[in-house]
Amino acid sequence: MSKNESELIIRLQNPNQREAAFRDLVGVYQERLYWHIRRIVLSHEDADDVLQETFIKIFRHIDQFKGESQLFSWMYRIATNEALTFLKRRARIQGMSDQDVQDKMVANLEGDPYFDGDAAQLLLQKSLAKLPEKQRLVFNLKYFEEMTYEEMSQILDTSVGALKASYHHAVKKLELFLKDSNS
Amino acid sequence: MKYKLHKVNFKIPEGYFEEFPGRLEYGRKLYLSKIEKDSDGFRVPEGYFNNFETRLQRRLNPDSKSPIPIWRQPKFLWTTAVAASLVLLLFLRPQNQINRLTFEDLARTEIEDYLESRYAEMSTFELAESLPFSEVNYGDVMENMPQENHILNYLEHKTEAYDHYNFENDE
Repeated sequence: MSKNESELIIRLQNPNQREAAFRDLVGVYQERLYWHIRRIVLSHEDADDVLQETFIKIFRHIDQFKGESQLFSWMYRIATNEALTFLKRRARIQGMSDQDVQDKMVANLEGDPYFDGDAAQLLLQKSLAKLPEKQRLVFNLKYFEEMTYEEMSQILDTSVGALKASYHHAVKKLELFLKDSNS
Repeated sequence: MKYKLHKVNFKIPEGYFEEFPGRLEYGRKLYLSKIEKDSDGFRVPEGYFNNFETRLQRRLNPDSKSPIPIWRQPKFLWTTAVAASLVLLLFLRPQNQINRLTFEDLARTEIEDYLESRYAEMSTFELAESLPFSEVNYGDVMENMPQENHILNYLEHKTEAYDHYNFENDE
């Protein structure tokens, strides 16, 4: 854990300094967490809701952070759980399967004012939606966020070997999807 | 190189070289996505990250949602006006026009209606619970035995189907 992070945690756990420290925390991590969440829920409005819920959870549970992992890993784990729970809740409310929700989210991208990707980028999202949840997460973290397997291991509570296998399977499947779509 | 590959009987999938440029193009675009963070097609409204912290603080401290003092808010003003009008109307009425109702003013039928409708909502068990046992005499029940036709009439109209069923089962 870096010195800055340790100091931030001490300030966050001190009731007198908590508010100011929390503002600093939001300023430092909001973009990283936003993009992580956005790649899971795809729409900006949903990402905004989940990001707020994530920071509220962080604020309320910061006293329970024991420093056994990095602060950012702990926050990423909360963000991931919040985003996945958000999608599962939506599936339950709409009486749809998780896969149906994924397909619907990708279909909505075409009319989304905050998505201006070209055909290839849309195709990539469609292909990602077909991956199992864990493989999709690993691919996003590795490919877009360029995270190390060790960092991913802390967030997803999975061994480095299993993560490497997941990424390998994800890439292979994506290649197949893209190839099939191209033919 | 091509010659050597043919010599050792290596094979390639049918149409491999025809598809290769297309696959390369996808690969190139994927590679570009990796270099530029926002080029995966997603973007955010302008100024989103500048305002996020303020909106988050509003959720964490709901009290800070209304910076306008409550006495200056339109809703407060008109509700206060309505309440004040009602109070004035009540107190400025001449006293002789106010009818003070007493228990004696209630018609007997109104009291009976009240008791019937009030107690009709209570089950037999609740009714029994509401009567103090000390005030019920044994004689109140045994000395005023209902007639047989009243009992039959009661059983016919007041008991539920499942009561009969239980009764038969108990037999």
